Amino acid sequence: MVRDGARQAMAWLHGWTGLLLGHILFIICLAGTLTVFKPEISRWMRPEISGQADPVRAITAATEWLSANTTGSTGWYLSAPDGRSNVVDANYDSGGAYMSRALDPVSGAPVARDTLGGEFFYRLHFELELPYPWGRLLASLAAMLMLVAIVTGIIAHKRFFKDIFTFRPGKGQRSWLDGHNALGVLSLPFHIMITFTGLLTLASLNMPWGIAAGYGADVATLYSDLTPGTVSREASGTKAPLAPVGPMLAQAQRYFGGAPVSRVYIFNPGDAAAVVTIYPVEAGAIGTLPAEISFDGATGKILKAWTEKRAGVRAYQTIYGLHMAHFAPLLTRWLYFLGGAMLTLAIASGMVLWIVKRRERAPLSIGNRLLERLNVGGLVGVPIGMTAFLIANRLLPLDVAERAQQEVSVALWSAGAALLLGLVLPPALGWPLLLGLLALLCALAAALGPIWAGDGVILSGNMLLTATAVGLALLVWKQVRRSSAPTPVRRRMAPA
Amino acid sequence: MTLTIGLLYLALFALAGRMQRHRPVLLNSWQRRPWVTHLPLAGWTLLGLSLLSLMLWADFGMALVAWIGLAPLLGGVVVFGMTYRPAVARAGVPVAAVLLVAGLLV
Amino acid sequence: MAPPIHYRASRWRYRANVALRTIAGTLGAYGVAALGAAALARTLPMARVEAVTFATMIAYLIAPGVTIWAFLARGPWRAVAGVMLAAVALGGIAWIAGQPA
Repeated sequence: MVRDGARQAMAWLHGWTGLLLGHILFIICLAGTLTVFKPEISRWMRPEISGQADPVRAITAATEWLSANTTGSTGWYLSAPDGRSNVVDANYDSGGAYMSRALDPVSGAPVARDTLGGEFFYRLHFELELPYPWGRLLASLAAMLMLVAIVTGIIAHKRFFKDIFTFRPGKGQRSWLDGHNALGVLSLPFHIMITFTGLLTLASLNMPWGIAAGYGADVATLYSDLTPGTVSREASGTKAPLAPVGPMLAQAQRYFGGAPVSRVYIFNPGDAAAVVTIYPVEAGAIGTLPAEISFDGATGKILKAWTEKRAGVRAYQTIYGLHMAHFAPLLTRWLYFLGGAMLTLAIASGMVLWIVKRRERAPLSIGNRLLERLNVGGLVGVPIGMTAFLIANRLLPLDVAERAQQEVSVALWSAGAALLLGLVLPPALGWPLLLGLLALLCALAAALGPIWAGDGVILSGNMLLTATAVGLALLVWKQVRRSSAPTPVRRRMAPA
Repeated sequence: MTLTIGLLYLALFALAGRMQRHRPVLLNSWQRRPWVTHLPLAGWTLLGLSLLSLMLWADFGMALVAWIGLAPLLGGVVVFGMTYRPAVARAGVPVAAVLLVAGLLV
Repeated sequence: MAPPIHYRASRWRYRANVALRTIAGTLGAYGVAALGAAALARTLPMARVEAVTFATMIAYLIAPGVTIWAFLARGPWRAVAGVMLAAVALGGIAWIAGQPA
C-alpha cells in the first residue's frame, strides 16, 4: 500500500516536524498537562485563603467591593468559586487600567498574595508568553504539525501493532525507540483527541476560511448569530447604582435548572444601561455555554434568557469542552493528566531519540551537537522555570510592585538561565546537573509549601512535588552511576 | 466501570500474550496450552466488548473519554509490568477477572 | 532513515519525491481543508452560522486525509496533481455558490 519510499518519506517528515517545533510542543503539552489541575495550582499559590462562600455570596461580595473601588469601568468579568476554585477570578478595568485579580470569596477584596496562579500555566499552554495573536498562531502551527507528526508516525511505524507492548530497557537507541513508541501508541486515542480538539479551540484563528466564506468581513453578524442570547447595549451616560445581584443570581440558578452559577459578566457597571449576564457551571456535562441569562443592571429585570440547542454550535461546544475537561470528575481528570504526561514524554523522548540515533551511527555533526545541548536546556529548563515560578510565589514579598508579573519574570529568567547552562555544559554533565537542580527545586517548593500544610490541596501539591523530586533524584543517581561504571547496567535493576 | 476495566485489561493482556516475544514472560507455564492460538481473537473480542460495555455507563460521552484514558493506563501496567515485574502483569489477570465479575453482578 | 540502495542511485529523484509529497501533504493539505471549509460553509443546507460551524469542524478531518493521500498516491506528481485538483474543485464550488446573505 505504501508506495515508492513513502514510508521513508513519512519517517523523514515525522522526524523533521518533531525537530522543528518539538520544543514548542513540549512547552504546550507540559503546561497543558498541569492546567488539568489549574484551580488546585491556584489554591496552592494562594495559601492564605481559608474562608469559603457559596457562589452567590462570593459574587455578591465581589460586586460590592468592585462598586466601591473602581471608577469608569466598562466591564467586570467574574468567575465564581466552586468545589475546586476558592476565589472569585476577576478581570476588570478601573480608571483606564486593565486588572486581573483574585478576589477573596468572603470580603470581595483582592487577595494579598498577588499571583496569576494556575492561570499562568493555562495561558502558557496556548499563548506561550507571546503577544496576541502570535502566541496562539504559533500554538496552532505547532498543533497542526503535531497532527502531521501523529499521522506520519503511525504510517512510518513498520510494525505498529506488533511493537505496541514492547519495551527493552538499557539498550540505548532501541530503548529510546521502544519508549517513544509505547508512549505514543498506548495513548494514541488520547493524543489524536487532544490535538484535534486543541486545534478546534483556536479555530477562528487557524481555520477562519469557513467564517470568511460565510460572513466575509461582517464580524458583528457572526457574533450575534453565534451568541443570540447576548445583550449588547451602549452605555447611556446616566449614572445608576447596580441593583443587588443576589436576586438575579438566584433567578439565574432557577433558570439553569438548579445548576450553580459560574461566570458573571457585568457590562457598564454603575450606568443606567448596565447589563448583568450569568452563565451556569460546566461541570457535569461535556460542552460549555449551554445557557445564559441577562438582566438589566439598574432594575434587575430579565432582558433575555437563552438555551443553546442548535446542533452545529452544540457540537462545537462539545469538542471545546472535551479539550477543557471542566466536566471531568476526579478520576477522568487524572486520566487527562496521565494522557498529557505521556504525550509530553513522547515528545521529549522523540527529541532525545533524534540525537541518540545519530550518535550511535557516527560522530555528531555541529548542528546535531547544538540540538543535543538545546535538548538539555529546553527539556529540563522549562520545568525548572515552572518550579521557580512556584518558589517565587512563596519567597517574593507580598508588597512588591507588580508582584504577579514578577513571578512570571522569575520563571522566564530561570528557564533562560537553564537553557544557557545546557548550551554551555557538555551534555554528559548538563543532563545530570540540570535534572539534579530540578529535583532540588521541586523539593524546595514542597518544603516552602509549607510541607506540613494542613490544607488538603496544598498538602497534595507538596506530596506530588516531593514525589517528582525523588523520581528525578533516582534518575540522576542512575545516570551518574552508569557513566562512572562502563559495564552495562543489569536489567530489572531499578523498578520504576 | 469495573466491568470496562476488567474487560480492557484482559483484552490488552491477551493481545500482548499472543506475541511470540512476550509469550514466555506473560503466559509462563501456560504458553503450550492449545487455546493460546486463539488469543488474538479473544483479545480483539474483549476489546470490542470493553467498548460495548461503555453503553452501560450513565453518560456515554463521559464513558468514552474515560476509556481513552484507561487504555494507556492499563496498557502501561502490561508493558512496564512485563519488563520489570512480570508477576505484577500476571497478577493483573485475576484482579481484572474479579473486577469483571463484580461489574457483571452490580 | 537511510534510503535503500535503489534510491541511492537516483538520490535527487528520491529527494524531489519526498519534497513534493511533503509540500502536498502539509501546505496542500491545509489549502484543501481551507477551501473545503469555504465550499461547505456556502453549500451546507442549514442556517448560515450552523453551516459555518460544521464546515470548520469538517475541515480538520479533511486535512489529515489529504496528508495521508499525498503519501500513498502512486507517484509524487499524482499527489501534487490530486491536491491541486481537489483545491480547484472546492474553490470553484465556493466561488460559484457565492457568499450567502
